[in-house]
Amino acid sequence: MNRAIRLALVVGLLGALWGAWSWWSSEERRIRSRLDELADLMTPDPGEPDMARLARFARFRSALTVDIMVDVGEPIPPITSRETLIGLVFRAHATGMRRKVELSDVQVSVVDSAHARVLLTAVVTTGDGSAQTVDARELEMGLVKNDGAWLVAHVVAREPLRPVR
Amino acid sequence: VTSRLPAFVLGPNPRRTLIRALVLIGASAFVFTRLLLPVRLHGTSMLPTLAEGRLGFVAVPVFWFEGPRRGQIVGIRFAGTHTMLVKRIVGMPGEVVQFVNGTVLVNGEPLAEPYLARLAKWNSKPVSLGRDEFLVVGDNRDMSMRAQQFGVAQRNRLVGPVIVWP
Repeated sequence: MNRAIRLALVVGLLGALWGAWSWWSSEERRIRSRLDELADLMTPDPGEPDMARLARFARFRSALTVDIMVDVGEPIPPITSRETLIGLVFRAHATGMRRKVELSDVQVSVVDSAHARVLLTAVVTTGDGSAQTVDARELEMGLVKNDGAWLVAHVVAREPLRPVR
Repeated sequence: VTSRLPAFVLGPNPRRTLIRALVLIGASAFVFTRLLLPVRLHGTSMLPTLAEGRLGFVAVPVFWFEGPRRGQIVGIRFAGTHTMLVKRIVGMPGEVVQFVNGTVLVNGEPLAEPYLARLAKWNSKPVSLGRDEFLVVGDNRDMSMRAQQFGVAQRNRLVGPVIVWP
């Protein structure tokens, strides 16, 4: 291997390391990680013990601002407080029905050191087999950074189709 | 590593086989994430044309060369193309479209829709479509109007026509 190739390899390796470090330390990665955590927290395990459920909701609560505003459209009315949201999700999970939340096509825009906007598609799959229903929504989320942690401050649904009635 | 693998896997020239495999993987990844997007249908809104669980592809390049046409079944993106709505175009830009007793009226004229099975009595106010707007709806008009997710889609939401094999 001649000297030029070795040099190119070293430069490439350093570039890759720098890229990996930049990504690892970026706010975007932290936000994506937070969103993955939220999706997991909203996906209960079948037969989850009560204590595990309480712990999961405590973690879920810590990822939201007190005055979170959520408007994801019908059939859920607009929500303007964290406790109302927690209560709603808790009741939905208490039915014991299998539920899976997936977030995809996540686009993160870090506005400044304490604010970020996220656009994503949330897919909620409920039930099993032939009784399975799939509900997809495009969501715009606002996040704020508080004590080093990104918290969800608002969630608004964006309709891909303008309704005709 | 290559010496441990059976000759029938790697052939007489392992290096060439590995390069071919990598090229194939790369080309497949490009085609199936950028050009032909695989879709699997959930729900009954496209019955009887497309049944639940039906597999197909959204052909992205078609809309690079020609605009969407009436009657096409298209993929409509949400935030991205990982999840899409699949609907049929019934109204084109600049038209006034209305449902009257289940029949689609385009500029006051009934639209022939041979792909429909039964019609429920859908009624709506006339909607004027803007320059980049299309009216899209599922083929299952037997279900209630509230149960169908349909409406006006912006051109930039239409990803491509849906291709399914018979």
